[in-house]
Amino acid sequence: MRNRRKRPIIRTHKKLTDMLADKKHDDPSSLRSKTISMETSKRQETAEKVVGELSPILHVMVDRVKTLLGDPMDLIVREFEFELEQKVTATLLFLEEMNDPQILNEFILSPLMSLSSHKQSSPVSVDHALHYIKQNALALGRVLDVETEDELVEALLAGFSVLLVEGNTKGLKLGTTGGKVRGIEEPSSEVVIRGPKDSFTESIKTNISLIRRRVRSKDIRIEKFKIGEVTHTDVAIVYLGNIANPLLIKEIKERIEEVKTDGLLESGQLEEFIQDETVTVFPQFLNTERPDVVIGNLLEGRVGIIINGTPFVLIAPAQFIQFFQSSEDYYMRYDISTFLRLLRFSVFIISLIAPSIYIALTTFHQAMIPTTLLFGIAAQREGVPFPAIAEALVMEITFEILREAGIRMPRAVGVAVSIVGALVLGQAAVQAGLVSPAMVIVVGITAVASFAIPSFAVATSARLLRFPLMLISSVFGFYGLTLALIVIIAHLSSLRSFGYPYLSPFAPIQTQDLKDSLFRFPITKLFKRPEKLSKKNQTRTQPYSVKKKREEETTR
Amino acid sequence: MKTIKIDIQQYFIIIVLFELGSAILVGLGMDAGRDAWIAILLGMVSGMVLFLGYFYLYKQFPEQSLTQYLQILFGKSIGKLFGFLYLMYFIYLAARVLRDFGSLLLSAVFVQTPIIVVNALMIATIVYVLKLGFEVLVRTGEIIFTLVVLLGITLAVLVLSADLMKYNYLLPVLGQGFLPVLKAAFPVTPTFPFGEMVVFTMLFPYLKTSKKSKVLTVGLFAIMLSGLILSVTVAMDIAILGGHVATHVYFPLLAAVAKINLGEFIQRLDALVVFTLIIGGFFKISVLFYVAVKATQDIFGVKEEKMLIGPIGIVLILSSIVIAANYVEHITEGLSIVPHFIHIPFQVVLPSLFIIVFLLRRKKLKSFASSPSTSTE
Repeated sequence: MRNRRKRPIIRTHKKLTDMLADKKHDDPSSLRSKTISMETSKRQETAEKVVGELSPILHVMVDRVKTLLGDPMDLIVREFEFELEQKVTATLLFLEEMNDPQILNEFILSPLMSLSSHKQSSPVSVDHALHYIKQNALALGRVLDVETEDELVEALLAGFSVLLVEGNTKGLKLGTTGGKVRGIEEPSSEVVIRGPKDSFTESIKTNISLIRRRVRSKDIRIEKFKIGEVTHTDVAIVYLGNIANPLLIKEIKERIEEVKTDGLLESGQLEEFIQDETVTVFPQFLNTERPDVVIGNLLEGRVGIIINGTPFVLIAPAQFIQFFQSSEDYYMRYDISTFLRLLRFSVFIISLIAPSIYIALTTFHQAMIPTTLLFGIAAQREGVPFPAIAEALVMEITFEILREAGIRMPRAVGVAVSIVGALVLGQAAVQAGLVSPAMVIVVGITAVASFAIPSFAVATSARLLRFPLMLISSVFGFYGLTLALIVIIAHLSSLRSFGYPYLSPFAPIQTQDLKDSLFRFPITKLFKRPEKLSKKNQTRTQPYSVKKKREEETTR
Repeated sequence: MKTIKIDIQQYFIIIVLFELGSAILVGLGMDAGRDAWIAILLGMVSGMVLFLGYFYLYKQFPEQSLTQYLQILFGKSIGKLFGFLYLMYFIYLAARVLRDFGSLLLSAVFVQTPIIVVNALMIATIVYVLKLGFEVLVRTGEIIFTLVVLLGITLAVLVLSADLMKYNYLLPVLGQGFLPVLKAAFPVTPTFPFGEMVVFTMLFPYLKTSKKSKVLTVGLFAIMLSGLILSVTVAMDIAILGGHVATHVYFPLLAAVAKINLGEFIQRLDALVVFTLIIGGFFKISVLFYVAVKATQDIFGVKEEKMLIGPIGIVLILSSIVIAANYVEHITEGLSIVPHFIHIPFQVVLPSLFIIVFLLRRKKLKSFASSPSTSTE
């Protein structure tokens, strides 16, 4: 609808502005000269005027904006007149696709142009026209004054329309933001079977509204920042004022404010700026496109960071164990949730070390393989000319290539890739004697396992660490593998996300928090928020009164 | 400078891992034959007595580590000399444990690999972890502890279900009377691993606790637990292998676990034991290593402890190789020379001397000790 209506209107806009412009040239009314004299007198008074001040002469101002923006094709300059005491010329400026034409027509242009028909109780002078319009004629919620050129341009770029009235050194910016944004859809990267099906979009406003709608608390705090010298990206942090630790909030704000860069397009970029440790393969922020995940974390005392232009919201501080939790864990029964969490964690371990174990076993510790299986593997490997590590590297790298190809390829070609991958590289490689069938199985398990990790970020860490682990276990067997794992554990326990130990609640052990870590206790037993995150407001659940008696028996 | 603080539960975990580290590997008190497990219990009790002594010293100097209060006790130069002796002791201990592990790995897995490679890899790992800080080591310990407990339980279940243990190997208890057991237990068993608690005199000041009594009870409890685990393990080794074999194998636990064979599928679990042992060894060497670093820092007045980690690591690699020409020599030294001429002086004689000196000079020290303690606060 909107689409169809827009075009003819614009055309008339342009014609009208042309006509008006013509008129204006041979219409140097007394009004203008008056304002000019005012202007000059002002000039004299303040000696040096601020350069960015708005000019009261309309066409000067419009030209100024045009030059500032480089006269873009989507800048619409709509001139019109309305009557107060006398005829007043006004201009409405906006960037075409960023505004809602319906609002512009119905709530700005039409009330203004029909002003003359209103009965005015007291005559309004031209100087007060702006104030009068603001009070009486604009049926809009967001109407703000604009006083400098910078503000004006910024407002235009942010999707406001700006109303300038001849003879006024102020303008009005009008909240007519519109234009097409993607609707709320199902999350694409975090699919659940049971649970809310909405996900964040690229628009920060929509995202905030999604959170607000679910948390009707007066304690929810949303603070805005602007990052990017060029992009001016809106960034907002969301937290619950009565739960989150004020020191954490202060730290996050400081880190965000320190970011000085030209542009911010995705939360991943901000993540790299404000993370604690750069030299690590592990993600230090949780990212999610699900509003319920963000709220769950807010309730635990964490902070959400929303960036305009991306549906991925960051959550800080993040703990390692969170990457193995899914929002669904809280919606399903605790027994299956616990099972799934344990499964996901073991899947992570498998995807991390399965090839290394195979290499270590076949290279160094053949004795650990049951004899019959050992014969089988030995027979398979008989025709293979490469050591296990070469075999494994070839297969793993092939797999990584296939995976990357599968993501970037157009869908139609994707099928071909999988056929080539499965048949040519899998079966043919075995038949050609390049790799042993057991190796293909190991790589297969690793691949499937890495897809079963709910968080893509942590799956990537496993993917990267797999290769050094394979190398070291090919040289030192289980000894090297053990030491490498110790190094990984030590590295993980040295990590901190905004000062909070990454491996908590395991190291340092927080007994209370262990209830909701690798296991999920029944929700009636989860009384406390994470210990270190929410020092002042710990209790989250009161003992369920129906079972109160039993609770008391078990806890005391 | 950021000070390290260790929780009381972390302290418990460090003690247990430290005690079990390498002791669980070699047969303890095996001179007592099938009564070795009793010898260990005796050793544990006397180890607890030693711990009381170390704790007494800590109570007098709660803010200082051993090498620091020696300088108060004896004055700067003599104190530093004693401190230096202890530094040598810590380094020697670390090198010994490293050698133990290197040799184990060579005999079990890497038959053709030079020991320096194996040891260097271990030290490289420890250097990395210690560079991250002692707190990281402790936290790593917490995770390792969970892993070790899980593995231990698994192994115990497997051993029990494999029905390998013949309890009559343990009988008769005290067949030759109490004397052989006493002879075997003293003076060797208390010194290793229980007497090695002397290294904790270097770590006590980092404890985050308001109650000193807790340090004592938790410490004693940790020693008791590790003593019991060791004792049960040795009893298990003997019940599986028989008293004679168990006393003559270098690594009884390894030999015992290797016998597990469940349904021709779960077998050769010695690799699993090796895995546990690598972890334990890593931890023990790390603690000794760190203590050596701390001692060096105190004695030579080095500001940044991280500067010392690399050099001491290299010292450890080299000394682990030169301390013995071969494994037999290494073990013989370990059984007959080290306990009498190294462990006993450093674990029993010198600390007693310190206590005596402290008691004698208490009045003088009070005025003397108060000044440095106020300056540190």
